[in-house]
Amino acid sequence: MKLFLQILLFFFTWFSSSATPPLAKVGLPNYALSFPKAATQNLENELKIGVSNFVRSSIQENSFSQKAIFGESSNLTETRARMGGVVVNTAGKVAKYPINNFLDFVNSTFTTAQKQLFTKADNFYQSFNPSFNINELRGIDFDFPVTNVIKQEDNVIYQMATIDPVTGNPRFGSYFFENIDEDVIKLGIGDLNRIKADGRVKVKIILDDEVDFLKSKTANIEDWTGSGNIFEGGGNQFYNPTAKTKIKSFEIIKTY
Amino acid sequence: METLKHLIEIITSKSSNEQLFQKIGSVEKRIGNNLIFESKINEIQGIGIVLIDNEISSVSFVLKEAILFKKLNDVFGEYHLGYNHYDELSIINFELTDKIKLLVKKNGFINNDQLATLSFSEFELKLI
Repeated sequence: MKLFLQILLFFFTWFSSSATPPLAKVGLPNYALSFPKAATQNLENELKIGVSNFVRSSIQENSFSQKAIFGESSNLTETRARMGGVVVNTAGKVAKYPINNFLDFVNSTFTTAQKQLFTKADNFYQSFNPSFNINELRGIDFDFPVTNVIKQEDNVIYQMATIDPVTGNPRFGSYFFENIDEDVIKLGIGDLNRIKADGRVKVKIILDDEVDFLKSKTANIEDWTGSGNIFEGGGNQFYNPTAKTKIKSFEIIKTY
Repeated sequence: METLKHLIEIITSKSSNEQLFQKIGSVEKRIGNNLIFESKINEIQGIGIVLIDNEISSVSFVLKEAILFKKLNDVFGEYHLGYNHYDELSIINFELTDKIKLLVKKNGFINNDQLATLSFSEFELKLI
């Protein structure tokens, strides 16, 4: 009897451990859909462009809200003149777009055509950095076209660069211009006094590869140091943050 | 922090350009109104001066050791944080006096919430 009970217990344990849920026997497909990242990005882009009255999703709106403190004083008593969130300097110049709630401003005041340009710029910037600071688009004047321009290897572009105190070489950013005679005080980097004070130089750059730039018109924007000064816009700018890694050669062609 | 304080003291003292240059090092390169120095101060990785009409407009320098933002905040107090998108630099501005600003720089975008955990090694003293 004792032996029988042990055998019974053995069979009971074996059945329990090998038991499977009834549905496991059903032939459900066992695969997941996946898209290459680029395809997903294109799909997202198409969706965004298709919804011209709604520039960014609510999730992105939230992330923007967190960033909205950027450019604002921290612990510093706010003394600069403000009109409805728009910074006004003593000379009466104003930034083109408000610092605070820029996205709300876009959604509530931009025309459909402007929203399409905004979405185009947003997508382009996001393609390099999905979490880029949306306020960076305040540097674009959406009253004017925003277009893609492809420059080829050996094409020439220019930049107003500062000098690196360690290497003594130009320190390249992401914004360029294509016309050697571009009015540099309209690039959103300050007037000639500021350009001199920052030690900027005009650099001629020869590209060593094809680069897709986003061409736009610069907008009036406030000084990033919080001085309250407005840097004048109106010039042509070419944006691509990877272009600085595709430089065949450069030459400083003008100092100020 | 002591190096930073010492540098600020040297730069803002009322000595002549030549006296100041002697304390900093020797001019290694001149590009327009930019003077790049070979530093004689060990704790400095690189230092450059912008001259306008023979007057020092700004002094940029990079320290070998980064300083925690909290220490900078404790010493220099109120600040303004902004983003220079043209050069892709986050800029913290401590206004030391009406005419002297200490700009603290870091590549890329940072926001206020990140500051407490970050250290900085690149500075610019703007003399207006």
